[in-house]
Amino acid sequence: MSAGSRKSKSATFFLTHAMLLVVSVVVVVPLLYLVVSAFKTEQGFLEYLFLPKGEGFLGVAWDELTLRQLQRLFTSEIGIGRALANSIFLSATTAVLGTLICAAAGYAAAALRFRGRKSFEWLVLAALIIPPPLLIAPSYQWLHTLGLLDSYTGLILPAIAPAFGVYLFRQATLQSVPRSIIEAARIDGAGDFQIFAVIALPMLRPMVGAFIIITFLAMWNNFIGPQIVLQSAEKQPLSVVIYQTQTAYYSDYGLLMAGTLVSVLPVMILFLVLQRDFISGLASGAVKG
Amino acid sequence: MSNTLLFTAGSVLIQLPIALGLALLLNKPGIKGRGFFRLLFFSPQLVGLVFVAVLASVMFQKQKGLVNTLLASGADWLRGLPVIQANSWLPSRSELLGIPWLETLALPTLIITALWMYAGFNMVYFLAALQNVPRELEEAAMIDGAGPWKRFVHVILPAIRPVAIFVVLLSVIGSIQVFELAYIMLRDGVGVQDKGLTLVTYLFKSGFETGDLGYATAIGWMIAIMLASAAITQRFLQRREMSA
Repeated sequence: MSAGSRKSKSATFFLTHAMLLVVSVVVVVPLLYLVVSAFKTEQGFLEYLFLPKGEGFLGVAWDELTLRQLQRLFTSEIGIGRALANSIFLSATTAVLGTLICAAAGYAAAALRFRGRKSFEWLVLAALIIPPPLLIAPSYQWLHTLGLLDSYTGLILPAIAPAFGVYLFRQATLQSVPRSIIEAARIDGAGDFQIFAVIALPMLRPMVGAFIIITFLAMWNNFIGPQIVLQSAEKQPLSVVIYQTQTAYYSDYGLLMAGTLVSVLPVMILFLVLQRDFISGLASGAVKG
Repeated sequence: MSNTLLFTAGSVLIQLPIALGLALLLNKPGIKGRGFFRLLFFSPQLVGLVFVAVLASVMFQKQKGLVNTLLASGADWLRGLPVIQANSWLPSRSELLGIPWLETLALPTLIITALWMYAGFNMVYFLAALQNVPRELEEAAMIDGAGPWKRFVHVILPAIRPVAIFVVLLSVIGSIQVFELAYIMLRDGVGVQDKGLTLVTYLFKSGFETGDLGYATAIGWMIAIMLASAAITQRFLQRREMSA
């Protein structure tokens, strides 16, 4: 290899990394802005774009950063603590129930022979192509008829058996749980439920991890749903409460940013814990699609 | 309606090439910290539409907003360079600080926000597809004397075509249903509503603010028909590809 081509190679290497770094900055700056804004005083927010300038380490006035906004957030009448608890409860319940139900249904559709299996599969596929906006008004009427408006049940119930979840787990079972293992277990006298819980579920682990994140995120960020189903203010999750805060305290940016930070952090933590599963699950789905 | 279609066209046509470009960069052999970059670029997706919308509505403020302030300082810095000093085509600081993103530039603002949020998400799909393209294929083309552009068009693009069509469909479907960003960022008092009125916003408003559930359902059907035609187009493209 000549010296010239080696040189051009290292130039490409440098250029690629430079471009990646630039994009990283674009991605990170808004997030950084969010974090920093949540720890500044009202004065500091207006005065400095990012960290307040001063005498301290790296030319930053670290002592001007405060927990004031967070304090105000939790003591104000917004009710952020309750909203946080609501969000965690709603999302965790939906994620656990939804994942269990979809995994069981998907496994059943893939591995069991039962009457009406074909029509079940058709039903799932049909439900898969219905766009969510179409269901907004009808589901409101159904919940009204069933008397489930303004209850958590009314919000959780429609969310625990999404068709795409059943379909995902059906595909995952077909792909990663070999028939021979299921049959071997059956010969050894294991019941259907036992096979599912002890053998299939551990083999579906990457999909389980990914799906917990998907359902958790979907409920956490659900905005239309709570607005329509829930009426009492004290039942609303973070997504709605932050939105209302934006209306009520429009120019109180510090408070708004602190609220947003509190809303975003739990999800980030959950994701970091489960991320290995998530990306691999997403990627395997993409290649098949 | 036209807002929704413009937003869809804008975000798909701008976002997907960028996502693919990022995936191509990350897929180059010998990249340091590939997993880290992938996680980082994906992270805006985690913030959630409502919270992205709130954050963006603060950042796109006139005068004090982060976006305009950065643009203005960037222009100041450029003016300091001797090359640029001579010509004065650069907009002035007060002009840049006064860019009315939320007030009149509703659609571009929405498209930029969606770009920030979803480019990394789509990149993950593209990257997964690219990693399945055998390296030998590209090397063979290189030996045959194909330049980077030719290699991309004739080797890589056909290989990732199924995933690419899937990602396009997914983005079109997602964009047609855009709601939270428009609803929160362009609300009365925050921005001008009708410049960013999208179909689902319209559905929500007529169903639950005006109280006409029947009309809302009709809009829902219209969205359903649009989505169905997008899906049918995709099937058609795929079938043609199989027979070809």
